[in-house]
Amino acid sequence: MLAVLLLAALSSLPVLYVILRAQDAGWAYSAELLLRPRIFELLVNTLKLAAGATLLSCLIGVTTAWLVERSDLSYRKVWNAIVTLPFAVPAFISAYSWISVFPRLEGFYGAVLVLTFSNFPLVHLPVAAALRGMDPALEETSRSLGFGRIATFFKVVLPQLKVAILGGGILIALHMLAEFGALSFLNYETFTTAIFDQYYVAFNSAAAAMMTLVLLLLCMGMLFLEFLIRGRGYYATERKGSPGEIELVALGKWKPVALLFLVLLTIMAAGAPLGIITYWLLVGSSAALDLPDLLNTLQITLSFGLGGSVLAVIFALPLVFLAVRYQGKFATLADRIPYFIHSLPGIVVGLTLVFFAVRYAFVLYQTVPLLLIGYAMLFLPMAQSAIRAALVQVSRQLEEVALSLGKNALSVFMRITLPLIAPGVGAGLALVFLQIMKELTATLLLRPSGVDTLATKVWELTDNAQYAASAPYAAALILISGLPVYLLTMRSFTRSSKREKVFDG
Amino acid sequence: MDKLVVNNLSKSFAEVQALKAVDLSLAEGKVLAVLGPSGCGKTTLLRCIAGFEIPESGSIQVDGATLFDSQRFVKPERRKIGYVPQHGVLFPHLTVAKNIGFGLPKRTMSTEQIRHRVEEMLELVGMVGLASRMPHELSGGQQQRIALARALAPSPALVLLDEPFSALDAGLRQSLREEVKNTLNSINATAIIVTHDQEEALSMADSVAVMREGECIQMADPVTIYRHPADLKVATFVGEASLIQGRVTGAHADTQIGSLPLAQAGLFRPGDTVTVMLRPEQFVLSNAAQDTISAQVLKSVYCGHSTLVEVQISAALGNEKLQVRLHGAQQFQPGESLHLQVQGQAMAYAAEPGEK
Repeated sequence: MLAVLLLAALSSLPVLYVILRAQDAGWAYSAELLLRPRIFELLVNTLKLAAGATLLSCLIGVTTAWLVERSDLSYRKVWNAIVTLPFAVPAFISAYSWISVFPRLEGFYGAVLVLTFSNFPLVHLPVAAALRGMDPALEETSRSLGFGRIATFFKVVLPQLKVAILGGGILIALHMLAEFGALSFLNYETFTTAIFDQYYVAFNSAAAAMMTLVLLLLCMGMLFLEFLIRGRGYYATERKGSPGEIELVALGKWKPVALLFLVLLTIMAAGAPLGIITYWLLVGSSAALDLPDLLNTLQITLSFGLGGSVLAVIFALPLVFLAVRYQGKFATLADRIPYFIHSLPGIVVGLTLVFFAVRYAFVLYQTVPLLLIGYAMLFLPMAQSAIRAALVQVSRQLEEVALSLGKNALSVFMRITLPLIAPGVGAGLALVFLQIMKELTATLLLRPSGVDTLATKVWELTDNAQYAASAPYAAALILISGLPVYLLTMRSFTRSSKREKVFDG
Repeated sequence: MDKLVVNNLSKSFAEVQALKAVDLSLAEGKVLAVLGPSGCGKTTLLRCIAGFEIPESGSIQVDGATLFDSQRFVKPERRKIGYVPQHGVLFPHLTVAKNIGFGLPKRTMSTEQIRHRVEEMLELVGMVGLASRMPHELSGGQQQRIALARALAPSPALVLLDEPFSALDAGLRQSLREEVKNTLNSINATAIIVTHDQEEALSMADSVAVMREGECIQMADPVTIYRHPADLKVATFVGEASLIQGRVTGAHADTQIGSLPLAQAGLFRPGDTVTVMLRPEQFVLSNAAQDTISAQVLKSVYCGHSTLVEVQISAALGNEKLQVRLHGAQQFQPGESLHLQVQGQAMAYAAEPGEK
């Protein structure tokens, strides 16, 4: 219960921060700040970007998923892996690589393009999984009732994909609200970058707080949308072992077009960023690689990741137990609040913690513990969902049997429950660890001065157009964070995808 | 004229030939059961007729119009053939009413007409009042009924049912079989049911096609399939059978349990060695000691309406084992002695090489 109260307190901090700031600046002045044309301009910018990148990502993601799952393209398994390669490159690194070669990519279109390329796999993966899991009999029945392949796609297949598409889309929209690094490189202003400027450059905390308020409202709007979709009581079909593999659509003369599309997409989304970083690495070897500094930065990054992930898991464990094992208001809260926190952009968490530290606990300001708390707060939901997935598999009866054999609750937990959920705890640790590696925004705000992680180092060097110098840090980041994230994601989506060819039931 | 004519249809997957020159025909308003073990090609046959698989050769005609031959392939959506997949598989995002109305042409039917037709179909399958339910709110049997209603709503020329009852529990299966049969009969629908359950095939169909390894072995009415199976494998597949060696003498076969009248006269020459097949129902208990077979009970399976008894005939007659179905509420203990008589005619098959 204490944990839930703490969680509730944590999640209310950002709101409290906005209120207190507004009070400091005076309500009238705050209202004035809030109703400036500037805010409206930022709102339009932010929504334009979110809508553009989300729509484009959905279009590309559904197309690639369909090509990989339903067309007669060769090497479809390989394409499935290639298409999700962008997961290996954090968005701000991808943006930095593009801008270092094509400075003219700045602005709205550049931002939409670059962010779509790094985010569309979030639609591709769930949609591909949904297509794979769909019972072929649905489409066959529709055909037998007089609808052609195209009509069947829109009337039967697309509605089944709705949840996957919307889920991925909302995730992307939330990312757009939170994105800072990439947009800062691409020189496109949204609330996140403006808040950062106000705070970091103009030192206008009241204005930053008012922008944060709008950003918070946007996030909550997204969250509400997601809640609506989840709550619809939607039941997806599973393959019930229907006979026959789904018929693959012959692309015919469209095959070269489809191939060209996939090749171009791969080049733009993964090939270019990786290639450009490699280029800077090679060119930059003349710019004197500071190996001790690289190692030092790496060590700091790793220790932050370790500390943050352990903290997140320790915090997540009691919450998950409460949510899974008990019912009631607290359990529901423990279940729901993480979704809210998950939607908070790093900049909001960063600013909030800075504000409260400066005001009430100055000893914590710009210290490692505060940074780790920030990480734990940002990535708690990931730890929770990983542990939760493991805990729901552990039957309550197992624990009851152990109790009936005379073990007390603590020893049951240590000897039965914990070993069984160990894989989930491990997965949670790994996920949070990897996310912390590439976290930029909150780190910039919360880190002790003079301490750099790989991400902040890339950001600072690139901000000064020192592309070659930042390349080694970017490469290290991709190697220790991007690739593992990519592998983890691929595994979780391709498991149990084995399809057997059975021609007769 | 036949509603459906399948001619010389062949289809193979990789190295397996799923259909080998299958011929079928089905008259209007009749129900055909395609019966066979799993992997025999029966589902492939159904999917070829529906248009989901493209055969390699042969032809398919419905109402005299060619749906498939060497020059033509009519797409599934143009065939007007209803399809009830295994497990029903309703569209999960649509209500029951919208599922049933899915195939009704919006261009030629008004909303009111569609609503009326849906109502009619709900009545037909006995599901009135469930129109606004979502599929996940229905039980397995209800889903299956709605799937049938959905297939029948556009009045298809032919309706195909793929193992329609395999996912249901035994009691429900029994009653739904009867219901579906009545539904199909009441609108004079022409239907094909694919099944591996011989009881289902015999009880529901006007004719049964037995398939094995891609071939249609025998097609006949249920009584003929059961009494006069085309070969020994069909005989043992469609029901229990006792097989006894014998030698042909005219219209009879001499066996260890006596001289049995043969169902097919003139097929064998006197002196031929044959295997004789008797159904368990052909044995009856007898009190007389004369002209009967004395046997000992090996085991007995009580089925309520009857008892299936395995007996061993006395050593003097050669120790053969027989499957016997005895009516009534009588129970039998292993070791008990019985006297049996044979009723009706026996089927004889040429003894396979290697058998005695």
